[in-house]
Amino acid sequence: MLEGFGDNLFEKYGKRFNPGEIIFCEYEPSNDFYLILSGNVRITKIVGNKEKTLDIMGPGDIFGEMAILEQQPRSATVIAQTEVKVLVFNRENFELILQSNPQMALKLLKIFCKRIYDAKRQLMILTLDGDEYRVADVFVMMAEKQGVKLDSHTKVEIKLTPEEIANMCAIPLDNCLKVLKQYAKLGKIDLLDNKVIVNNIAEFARIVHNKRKLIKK
Amino acid sequence: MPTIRNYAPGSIIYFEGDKADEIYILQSGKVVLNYTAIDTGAEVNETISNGEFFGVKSAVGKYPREETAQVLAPSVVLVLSVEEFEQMVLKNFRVLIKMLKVFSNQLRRIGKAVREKLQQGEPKMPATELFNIGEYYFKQGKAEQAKYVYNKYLFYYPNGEFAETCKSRLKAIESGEFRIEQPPQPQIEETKPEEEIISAPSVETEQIETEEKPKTEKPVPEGIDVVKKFYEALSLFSQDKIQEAMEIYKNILEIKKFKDEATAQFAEKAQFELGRCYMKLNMFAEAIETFANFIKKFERSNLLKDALFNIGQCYESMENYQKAINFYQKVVNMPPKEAINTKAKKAIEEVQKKL
Repeated sequence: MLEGFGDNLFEKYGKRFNPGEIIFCEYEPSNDFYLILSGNVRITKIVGNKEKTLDIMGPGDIFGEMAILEQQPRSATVIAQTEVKVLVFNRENFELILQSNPQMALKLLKIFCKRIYDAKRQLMILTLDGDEYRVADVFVMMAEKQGVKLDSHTKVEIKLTPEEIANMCAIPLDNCLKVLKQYAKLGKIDLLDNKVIVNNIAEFARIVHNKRKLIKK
Repeated sequence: MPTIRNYAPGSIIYFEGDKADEIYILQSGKVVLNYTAIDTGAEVNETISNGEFFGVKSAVGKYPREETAQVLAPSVVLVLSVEEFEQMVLKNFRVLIKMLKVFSNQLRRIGKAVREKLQQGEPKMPATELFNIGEYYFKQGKAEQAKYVYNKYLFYYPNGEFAETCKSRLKAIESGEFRIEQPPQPQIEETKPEEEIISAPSVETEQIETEEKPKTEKPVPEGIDVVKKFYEALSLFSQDKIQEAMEIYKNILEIKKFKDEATAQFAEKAQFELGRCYMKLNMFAEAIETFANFIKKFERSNLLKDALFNIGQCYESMENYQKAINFYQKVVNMPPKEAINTKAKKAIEEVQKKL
């Protein structure tokens, strides 16, 4: 069990799940968020008729925290992988619990910092006009996440399916495939089943950079 | 140890794109942050007040600086490492909570902007998508997961487009007729794929169903308990336990006969509160339907105006401003003149500003 969380807290706010049990499901209305005390959960999403594991979380991790901000439907499904014990929070008890656990508040602060950046980055993709630029910027963003230097002429593996890329670009799948095939035809990328190999990331970084400069003017 | 640094006017504390590992507190002087707004592309200058933190997000989130921090007047700045920053805010809970609020507001704003852009692509109906997830698990032979999703669907959208399908799927799972990995059967699939998988319920399965009813339906006892349950739900609602509150309201609404008039009134109240629950969950279409049913069922209710007003609010949230005004107008026109009539009038004025 996670240290620093007494039994009385579990009695009041705790919940237990069996292996395989769904904790919440994508598109379900959301109202609360969770801190894992023990066990592991799997974060999944169904993309193009395949269940994809986005992350595995364990003791001390927080999930579903977007519910404190806005009651949007859940963006992913969480399934207990082992027997799982969690604390359940909502807007009402949230501040109270944080007060006795500043460590958790700090953790949340860190998650928010990351989330703000990720959301801003995604918004940047969506401000570009033209499907080919958006797709290019998805490659650049994924390279950034892997810590690849954008001026280096290297290969980068993008672990995304065409569906996922289309979703990130907010364009129809057909348009996305058209762009990908065009890039592949030009030898700029290799199109594989579940991933894309970008042959020279610097080239895409430059395409996006120039496009942005144009917008600024 | 946190260190103090002095900066002359015109110097730069950090540039956009720099690696971020320090966090700053402005003690005195004048510092501005320059950056380009993502959505508008406009140059923004944000002045830091004395005592304010800056450079927090990029340092804590471990990503490059998103703005340039420029010194405009002789300034004294306290410099912290990320660890020092963490130690400091852990000891100062109020600062930590305040930051959390500021950041969550930013996140909410950006999240909204992203969603608006994303929805331009293809609008998704949460109800349909939820059902599709159930279908995915069902077809994969994952009975437990499918059951969870179908039950959730029926809970949130009892009159939804796929409610009947969910019910028959659940029946199939319960009866054990549900088979893992149904091989596709082309000829039948074209006409009636659903029935093929479910198979017609036999007499046997119906018997099982009646036996199980008491377990699943949780009947609410008559009389005093209805009242008690209702107030329990109200209290759950106020604690933000919306789903739990909804469950109780729905149970109350399932009761066909009440022991007396006084108790029967709670059905009316429960229906109204159920609508409020949907509103709280931002499920506006469902909220409108619930309030509309309320108005139909309890046309003499003294909550009638409130129900109309709430429908107006739902339409306003859905950015259907004309409909919102129509409903607010109904409240305004309805005698006697009460506080809510004035409230509706004000609401109309607010909505008109948005048009």
